[in-house]
Amino acid sequence: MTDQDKILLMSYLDNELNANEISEVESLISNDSDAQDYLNQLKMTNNEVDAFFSSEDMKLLDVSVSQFVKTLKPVATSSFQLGEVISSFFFSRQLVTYSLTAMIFLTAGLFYNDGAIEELSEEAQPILFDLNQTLFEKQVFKTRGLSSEVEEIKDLLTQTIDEMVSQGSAEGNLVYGTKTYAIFLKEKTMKLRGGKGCYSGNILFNGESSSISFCKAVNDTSLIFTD
Amino acid sequence: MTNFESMLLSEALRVKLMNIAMSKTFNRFDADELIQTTYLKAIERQDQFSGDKIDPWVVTILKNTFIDSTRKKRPDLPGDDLPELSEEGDQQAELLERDKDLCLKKLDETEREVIAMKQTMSYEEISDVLKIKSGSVRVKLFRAREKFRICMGFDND
Repeated sequence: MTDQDKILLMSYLDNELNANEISEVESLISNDSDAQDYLNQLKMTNNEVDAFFSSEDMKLLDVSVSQFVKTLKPVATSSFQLGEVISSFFFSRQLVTYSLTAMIFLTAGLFYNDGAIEELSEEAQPILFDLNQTLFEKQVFKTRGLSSEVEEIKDLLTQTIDEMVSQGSAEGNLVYGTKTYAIFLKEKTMKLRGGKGCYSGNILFNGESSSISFCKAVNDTSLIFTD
Repeated sequence: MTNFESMLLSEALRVKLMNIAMSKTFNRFDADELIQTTYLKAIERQDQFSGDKIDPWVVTILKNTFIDSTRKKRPDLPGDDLPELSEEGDQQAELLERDKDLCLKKLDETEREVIAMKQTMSYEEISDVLKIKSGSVRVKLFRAREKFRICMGFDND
């Protein structure tokens, strides 16, 4: 069997042949056992490739990307809002690698529910920083094993910042077991409906500082480590 | 919504971008970031888009964004791309999974790209995106699948 035959067989499986070529391939398959074997091998190959592109990871990626695309729809209609999203995105994406303890990783993207972003006029309206210097403190005792600690710290930090914002505190401490994370919110980067919004700041731990971007909307909360 | 926006935010394009991004990054978090950056760049540069086919334009943005991001990253170290085997899991299934990933990684960039594109695109559409003839797409796809088939041990030769 020649490479040309193999290409025809491949194209046959891809439904990319015209009527004449289909007849030619079907004749080849019925008369040549090597062609039949090759066709089966190609099917196995295609199945494995399909499996890669329909894996669990792809499904999770689909959820995340779909959500992101949804948030772009209202944004894309206003150049002013778009500018806000882009600047905020790149502000937070400058440093998607970060380290806190061993490594806290996250995927949180910016989210903007339909209509969640407050209408702002073309004239630049300053976004007022609406938190005060009251210190918020939260203490949590370690209850899980090491394997889930990274995930737990990420959740706890998100929770703590959420509570800080709710109480109007720009500074907070999360005490987790023997570790203390000092949280500082320094700037409000975006206003969302219902008094919600996005804040930038940093978290100090073990003498190291990590920049963060935190957003709270009506139905969602996200924390991005940008450093 | 403008025509540009409806083309850009279409489901068909989203799936194409996902497949291509995943074939490049092999990691959903990196793929996610790559796609989000691509969308934002496309919106930011919409004035530069002219024509009626947005897919090739956006795919090019994605490819360039990926190239830029890989320049900034450290080179992979040997063994970096090997997933850890669980002690209690189904090792047989994991080994097959690992084979599949490794075999895809053994393909060169364009071969992986063309395989990813074929998941949702016709030869003609791929030729539009890659700016090559449809016949060349067929040959590239053949070579890529041949490498993958042999790597997976599906050949009886």
